[in-house]
Amino acid sequence: MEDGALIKLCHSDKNKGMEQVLKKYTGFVFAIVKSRLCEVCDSSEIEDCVSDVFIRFSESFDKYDTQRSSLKTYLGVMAKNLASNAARDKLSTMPLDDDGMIDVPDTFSVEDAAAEKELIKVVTEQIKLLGPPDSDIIFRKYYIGQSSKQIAKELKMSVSNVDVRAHRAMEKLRKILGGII
Amino acid sequence: MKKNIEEILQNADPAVLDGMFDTIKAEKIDEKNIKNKVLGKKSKKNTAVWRVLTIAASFALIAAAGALVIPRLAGQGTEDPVTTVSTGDKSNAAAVIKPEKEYDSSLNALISLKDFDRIIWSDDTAPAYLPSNSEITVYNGIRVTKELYERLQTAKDNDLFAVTAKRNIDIPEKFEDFVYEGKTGKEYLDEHNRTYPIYGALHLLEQSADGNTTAFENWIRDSIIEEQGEEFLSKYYRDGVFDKERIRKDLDAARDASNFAARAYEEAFNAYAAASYPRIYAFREYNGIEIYNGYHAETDTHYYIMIVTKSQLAALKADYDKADKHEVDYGFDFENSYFSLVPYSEEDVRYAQNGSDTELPAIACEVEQILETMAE
Repeated sequence: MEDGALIKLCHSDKNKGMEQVLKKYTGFVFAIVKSRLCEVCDSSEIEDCVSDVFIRFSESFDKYDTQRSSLKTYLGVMAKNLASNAARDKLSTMPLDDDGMIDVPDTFSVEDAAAEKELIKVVTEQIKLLGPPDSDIIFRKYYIGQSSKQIAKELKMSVSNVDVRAHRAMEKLRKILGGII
Repeated sequence: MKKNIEEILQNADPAVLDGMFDTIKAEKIDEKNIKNKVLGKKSKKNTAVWRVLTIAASFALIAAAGALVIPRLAGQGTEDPVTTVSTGDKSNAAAVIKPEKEYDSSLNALISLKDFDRIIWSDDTAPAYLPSNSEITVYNGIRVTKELYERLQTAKDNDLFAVTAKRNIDIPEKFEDFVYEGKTGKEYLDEHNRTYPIYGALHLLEQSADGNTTAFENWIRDSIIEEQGEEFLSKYYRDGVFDKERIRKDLDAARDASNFAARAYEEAFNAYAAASYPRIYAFREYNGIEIYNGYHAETDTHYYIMIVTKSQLAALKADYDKADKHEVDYGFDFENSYFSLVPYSEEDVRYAQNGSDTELPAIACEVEQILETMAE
């Protein structure tokens, strides 16, 4: 069932609609949540977080706009954010991966919404421009939080190849962004 | 100021990230359990094992509520969860009351009661997902391996068995040998492995041809030669000049080929999985038996495990036959399936030896957790 039809069904019969959303996206949301939480939460907490994603969605699907993003992306972002919250709640400090660091000028403050939006746009565009498999690797490793092993398995590459590519792609990204932001 | 990519993108609008999740594959999970939580349905739970688990879970939940659940809920607030990540401020945590969850059927709860030590596993070292070479015999109307049959003969009624079900129809042991729509699994895999790097290489060449020649000279050229060979590169780059037209033309074809191969591989693998593993979680729905996700890390293969007493196994067929089956999707094919013991694998389950009766042992997630929560 297409995204538009799913949302239409959610509006006309919430339970039936959510059943279809669950059927189509539970495995995907689970993959995102597990990537972020598998080192800090047990399986029942991971499952709780997956459930939270769909509960939140069932309460707010009217905010989703099929014209702006696919439902997969919408749920992916929601899953990633809720999983990050859960991970942050488990750990007093979230370890940040130094390899994923980029120099950002102070002018791009999170308090300046417009500047932050621009920064997000520029960084996302440049990650996309890396092209596959590098864009995939950077997104998975530094945004979703997948391990190199997991990425290697899914992209059918060796772990060392993933690490080498991630390192090179980050170097490239820093260099390009250095000239833009 | 240095910022991590995750920090930068933490408030990204889904529209900006559209398409970036497309290659993330769904993982296998029993959606019934999530469905019950989301839609508020409860499955039937009336067995002795279930009652034991409920008691264990009550203790686990009381211990865990303050530490785990309340802080999690505190972060929810009224923020839009799509574009907002909590700042980790837990100051309001105490004001949040935990809602409805009544019990926890995770294996953690089972382990905390030391029932885990009572589970009988297979002595066979072959992975549980493979068809068994063992002789098949019949036990109270169900087909079982000889190993399981013999262990049942000496077991007490409440002994726990880790059991899976397999098809005994003509399914090859490995996906590579499985034939789906005229091609073997290996052919699907090879095609996927062949097309994806070509697409990646052409994409990098296109970027380089459009001006990013420094990166090309530094590493892209070498990596393309390493992966695809000099002959491949020479088709698109010769004497310091890129053949842009050919790159663009071949890039479109490579993208289509890669997407097609990836989809075909996934479809073939799903067909293999569906053909190989009977949906034994039917028994949770109808008989209240605990079913967990099994996982073999080396081959990335999922299967289901029933944690079942001898009594339940003995009555399985009769109970199943008389159960009120309201969802045809979850039917179980007794004729073409047999049950076998699951081997315990240190690789799959990391059982924390912390010496405490109350502390919940960890299930290794990074090493690929095997038994996941399935029922509520």
